[in-house]
Amino acid sequence: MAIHKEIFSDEALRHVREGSAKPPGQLSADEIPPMAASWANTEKMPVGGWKENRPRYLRGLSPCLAHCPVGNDVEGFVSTVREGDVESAARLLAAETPLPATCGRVCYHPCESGCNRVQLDGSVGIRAIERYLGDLPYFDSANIWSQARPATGKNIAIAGSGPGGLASAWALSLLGHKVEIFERKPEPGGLLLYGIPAYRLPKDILSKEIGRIKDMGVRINCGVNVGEAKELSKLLESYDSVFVATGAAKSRDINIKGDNNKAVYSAIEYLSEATSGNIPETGRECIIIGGGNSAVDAARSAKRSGANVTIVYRRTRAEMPAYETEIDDALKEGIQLEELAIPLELIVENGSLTGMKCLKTKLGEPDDSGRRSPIPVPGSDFVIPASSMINALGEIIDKEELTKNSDFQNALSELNHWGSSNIQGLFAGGDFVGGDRTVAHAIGGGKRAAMAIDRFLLGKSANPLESYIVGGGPASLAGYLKNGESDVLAEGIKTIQYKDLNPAYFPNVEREELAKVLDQKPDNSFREVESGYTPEEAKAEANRCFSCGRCTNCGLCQIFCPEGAAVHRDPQSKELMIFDSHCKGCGICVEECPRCALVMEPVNKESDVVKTETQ
Amino acid sequence: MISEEHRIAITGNQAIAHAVRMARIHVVAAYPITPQTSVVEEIAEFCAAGKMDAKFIQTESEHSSMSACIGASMTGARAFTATSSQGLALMHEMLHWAVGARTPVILGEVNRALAAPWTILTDQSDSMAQRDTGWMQFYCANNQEVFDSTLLAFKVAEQVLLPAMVVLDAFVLSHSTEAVILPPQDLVDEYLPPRETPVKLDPDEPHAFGGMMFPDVFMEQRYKIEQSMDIAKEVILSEIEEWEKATGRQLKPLYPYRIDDAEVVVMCLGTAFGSVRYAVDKLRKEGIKAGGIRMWQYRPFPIKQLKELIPEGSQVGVIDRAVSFGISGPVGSEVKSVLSPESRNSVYGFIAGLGGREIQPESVESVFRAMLEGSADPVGINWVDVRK
Repeated sequence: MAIHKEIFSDEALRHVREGSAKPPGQLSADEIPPMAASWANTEKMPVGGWKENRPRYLRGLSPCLAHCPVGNDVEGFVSTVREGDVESAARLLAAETPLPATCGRVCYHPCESGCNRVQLDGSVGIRAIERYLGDLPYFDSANIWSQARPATGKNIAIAGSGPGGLASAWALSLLGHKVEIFERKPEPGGLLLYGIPAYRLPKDILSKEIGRIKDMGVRINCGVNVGEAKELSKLLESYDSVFVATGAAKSRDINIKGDNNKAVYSAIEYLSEATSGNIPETGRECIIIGGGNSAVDAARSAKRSGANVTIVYRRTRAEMPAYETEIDDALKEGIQLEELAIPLELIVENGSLTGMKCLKTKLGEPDDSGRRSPIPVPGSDFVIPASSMINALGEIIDKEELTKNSDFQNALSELNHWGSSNIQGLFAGGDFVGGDRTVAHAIGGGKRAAMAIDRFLLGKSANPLESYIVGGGPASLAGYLKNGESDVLAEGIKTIQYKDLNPAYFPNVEREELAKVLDQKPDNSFREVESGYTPEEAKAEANRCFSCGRCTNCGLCQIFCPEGAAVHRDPQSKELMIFDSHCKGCGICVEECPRCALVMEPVNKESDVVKTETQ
Repeated sequence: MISEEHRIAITGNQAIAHAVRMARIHVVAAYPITPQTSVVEEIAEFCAAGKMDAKFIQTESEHSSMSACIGASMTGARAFTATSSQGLALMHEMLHWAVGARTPVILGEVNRALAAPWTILTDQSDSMAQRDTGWMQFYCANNQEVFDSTLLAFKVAEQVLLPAMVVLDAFVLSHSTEAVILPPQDLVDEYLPPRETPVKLDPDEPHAFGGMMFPDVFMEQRYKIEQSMDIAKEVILSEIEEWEKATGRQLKPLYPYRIDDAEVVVMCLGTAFGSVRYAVDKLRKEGIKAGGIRMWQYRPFPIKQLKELIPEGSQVGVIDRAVSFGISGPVGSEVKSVLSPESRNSVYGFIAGLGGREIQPESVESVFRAMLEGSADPVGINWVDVRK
């Protein structure tokens, strides 16, 4: 409906539209508009000089990046899936890892533990997104990678073809070095092949992953045991550098009566045989001793061979070092858990194992590991039936098997963060060096060592190795290849916490869980228990990512800036910029930013004179 | 013309919602509060069902609701909100702003008493507390009037650039079902064409609004609001006529009842007028020349019509459902200022029906009798049905 003429006169309208030289006090009643309206927009008012603080676009670090032992640009590939560009997402992932389909299945995803979304409605399903990408045809060949530099002519020997050795070989190849791997087992893959059952990591998937690395020119010599056939010192003479990644392959002894029975296995031995297709005989009642991941892997494998399986653990389920979801799945498959029990002796009748005598325990004060220690309860012994026993008390590193040379043994015991030893050219990584024994940590260690070897071989680059560390955690190979030109490697970059975000912009969305075969019907086969995301599921899950600390060009800062003109993305360079002349420092953009990609900084009035001329 | 098939049974709150839908509103921003909630629930359902093409914003407070409506209105959009009691009180700051910014927002106001103590029942203390903000106010007495008033409010507000409240009694109207005739959409479209705004928030012709005004021009701005109120009086009359032409139904600034020869008159706003008519009839049977007036248009105050209607020399009792503590009821003191002394009327202020207490025919009769017996206080507050 039109406005009554007497209320908004033509004179007043002209006054608002064209302005007037007259001071307001001299305007006639007709010329005064009914409301306070300026003649022009706020560009005429350079209020930049008011500010005490100014906003600045500053990349913060998504916690998933700092938590990923591999050094993957997690937020990068997840948000690229969200944007619908799966090929770029695959390339981002490939820039930091050679084994995405593997990690996408078996990694215990510290990234998800670090994910800020945990505090809203559950972490983003990062591992499943990685698996989704790793299974795409982009990873069908080594073409996903291109040589970072021409061949250097340097030769590197790697002992062990587990995740540490493979990652190191891959990174060194990208850097132009010639790599040769020595593997004592008949097939490459180390723990990935001989330790992780096929129902978690199908063999064809692993073989495709290793095949790509071979296609890059990495030679893998199987059946060659470094230490026996090739002494380390000799290797070091024939190669420019040697990387040791032979893992932790020796079982801890159990030392109880009867442990020499033929139906007693170590978890390493059992899993190795089982994954080779010769499942050792366990009889009807199989007992597993231990509470770690290899205990659960052995238990689930034995269950698949048809045995009734009981895990005997000296503390309770809550203290088990095995991963929660693995324990859940094991229990769903019908594996029994005997908590608070320690084995005393194995009962052998006529050479056959018939049972295991145990002692009950109760939990006492926390020990060095922070977990409550088991205290034996005298007189509480009891017998459980057993036709076989698998010792999964853990694995230890055997340096003596690798080398008899004490200088080398000592050197391999005193390694720095990059796997460098005090013997020129000798490096080590993976489970062999201790610390967290996971596939992801081994890949991270292999990458770090590759960067250290590269610097050792080619002399010092402009930047110290430490400058390629992301958020105090993993090292970035992509950053190393770009000589540190990566915004996640910026000095002093802040890891974004949940409290830094603006959760008002993130409604609750339920996490897309992977379908599990065993949810329908547990079976005794070694077929894969989980199925991957569909493209729609992957995108929906990626859509849950906050993109902590990274501007996604959502435009809220532009919407909320009261000066309208103050926050911009340069149309040509796409650079984010704030017009100093019109930003009055209110900080609303910083407050509203959903993902903390802006910070407020004090203006130094002495040296930092704010320009106030009109744009 | 309108046929009987357009007659439906709806509550007062639904009547507002239907009027808002048919007004082709652009933005509705609201926060729920009893007894208003079903207004915006109905609108939200219309939006969800695609029966309205409007942006529905559920805000975090009534202050924000009104702020959002003002912002929307400044872009030239037609904006609506609804509230009650504490919600209206929380809006207070922005009610002033809506007037000063000259944004013709329409507000469905379901009269509910203000706390403390808590109550959800009706009186007019909430809307009377906003009488000085510059909003037009129309107090309804049935659901058809609620529907008609809402459409008329849009049309008047957009011409005079003043916001308007359509006011209805909690529960008595808001939650009671009556037959209401909804005209066809094309009739409404013809009556209420799209809003025209020569100056608005528009990136193509940028202006900043609501900036500082110094003493050399501020008072002129305030004068223009009052001038617009005066113009609104005439616009309301012509829009009443337009609406009557279109629908055959006539709204009136003041509704008289047996007033022509009345010697004693009772005035009130809203549904309590039913009791007034009942009491008038009873006293008339006794031979007492009683009459009544219901005020629909409270702001702008219909001075001229009131002076014309009130018989000279009659006694006038004004029932307020709100108190200006320490002096009187708000409507009573205003009627007093308008009528005395030239028309030789004696005006008495009565307070009744606070916090949902029923104003019964007997209550109104006692008001008449107090004036007839000369026991009513001509200056102070005359409390009705109160244990003292």
